[in-house]
Amino acid sequence: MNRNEHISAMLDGELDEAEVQTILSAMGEEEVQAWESYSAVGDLIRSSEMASFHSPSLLARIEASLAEEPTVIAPVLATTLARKSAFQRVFSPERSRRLLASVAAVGFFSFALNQVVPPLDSQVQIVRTQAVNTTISDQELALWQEYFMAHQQNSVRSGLSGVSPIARVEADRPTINGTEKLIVNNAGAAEWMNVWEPSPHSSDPSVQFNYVSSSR
Amino acid sequence: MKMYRSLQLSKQIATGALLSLFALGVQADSTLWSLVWNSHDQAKTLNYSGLLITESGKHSQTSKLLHQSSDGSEFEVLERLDGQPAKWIRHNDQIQCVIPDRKMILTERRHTSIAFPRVLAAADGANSLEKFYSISELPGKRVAGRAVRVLKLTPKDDLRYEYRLYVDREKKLLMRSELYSPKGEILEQVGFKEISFETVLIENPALVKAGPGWRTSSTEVRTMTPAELPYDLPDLAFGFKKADTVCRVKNADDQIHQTVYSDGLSTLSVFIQKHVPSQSMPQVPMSHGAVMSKSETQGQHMVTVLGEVPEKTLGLFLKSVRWKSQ
Repeated sequence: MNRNEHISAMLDGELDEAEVQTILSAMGEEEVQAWESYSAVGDLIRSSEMASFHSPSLLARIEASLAEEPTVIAPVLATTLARKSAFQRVFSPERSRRLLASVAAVGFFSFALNQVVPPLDSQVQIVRTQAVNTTISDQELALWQEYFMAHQQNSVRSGLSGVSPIARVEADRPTINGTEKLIVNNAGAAEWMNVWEPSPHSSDPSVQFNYVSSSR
Repeated sequence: MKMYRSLQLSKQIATGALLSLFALGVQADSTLWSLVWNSHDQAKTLNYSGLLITESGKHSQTSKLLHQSSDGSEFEVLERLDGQPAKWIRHNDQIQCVIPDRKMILTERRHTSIAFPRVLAAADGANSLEKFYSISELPGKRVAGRAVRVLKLTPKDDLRYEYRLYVDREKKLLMRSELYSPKGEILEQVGFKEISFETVLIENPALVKAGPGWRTSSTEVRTMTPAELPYDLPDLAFGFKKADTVCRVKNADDQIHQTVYSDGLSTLSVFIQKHVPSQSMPQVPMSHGAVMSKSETQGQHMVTVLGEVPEKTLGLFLKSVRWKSQ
């Protein structure tokens, strides 16, 4: 174990009183920084609100060191990730996956990926009934969420909000010209709240769609 | 002798009392059950609007709900108040999800409408519920400023969770529903924070029309016949009844089959898709609120069972898939 590992072990409560004393008295400038980083990482994972208690430079350092590690990004997510701010990237799931090793028995993942369909929920709890060294990738989480939302449509508990899980993927596809039907009677997006204004031109209460994605 | 006689008498009285208590108990049970069915119907026929709070695990969500019913047709609007704005509009079996930030309208046709404050997950779930849950009444409470009766539905086995239903005394509408783990923790709850039965009705309820620059999109869900499937799933297993198997198409060679089971209150889905190296499910059981999932690779397919049931039930359903040729 090197010193950083000692500090990590101390944070995890794995060291006894005497060892903690020894480390604390021998901590140098660099180790104090390591301590700060570890605490911040822990706080980030446990609660996004806590992030604001740490200095921006610290967050930047964490982000920089994470950026050096290889990342696998699901194709669908690549564009979403690219658009996100640096701050958001710190919380995105592929970071948390690697940070997981230092957290306690239960980890929380934030779903930054589902920006398209309004996320039903923002957190998933991983219940660990097996060894702690399991990692969960972005693709796995994305697929899991798709299943989750598909299931929610049939659950009494979800209310109406479980609609259209697959549309999430579909929504990111480019629109095909000419296959999209627009009915012009809505003044604009700002007034979307008053959507139940019935159309004066239509007696049919239903909306017909002829937008079909290219892959079908 | 006198002693004996009086003993005999008291025995008879005791037996009689016990029997009548039992009969009373049965009668009380059926009254409670009819309250459950009643509240399910009330949710469809009453007009109401209010604030709804859903708590699932550590996550909570506030929404505004409006429900109106006229001439046998239902119109319902659910608007999300936290986070990214979204609005769901239901006209009988047609559902729209409006996302103003993305100028998108997603639509879907659903066979049944089963959202809170409806009680039952399946229309014919009524009969089987009594077999799998025992019902009792807890002391009354107050929810959203209204007096409610609290019903406790305790599962008779360890394959489902306990429910507590808070039913309005006057309107018989479900005001709050809670789901408990065997350890007594609340896994999920949904309920009104505020409700009004004198709501301003929308005169000509209609679905949304897309404005300029808005996109509309519908999810394609196809019902599969058993002959099309490379596997068989039981029609009834552990008190859960099979509904349709639907096929969710992501693209030409990426199909996900979903079979829905329900015991009337709890639902679970069996997902089956071709195993592709790029797609896998987490190898540990995952949970979100009351929903838990378990995955397994069977031959060339990936089987995932997901639902608001204990892990044991998920394992049993993973084992219940019978492959036709593998």
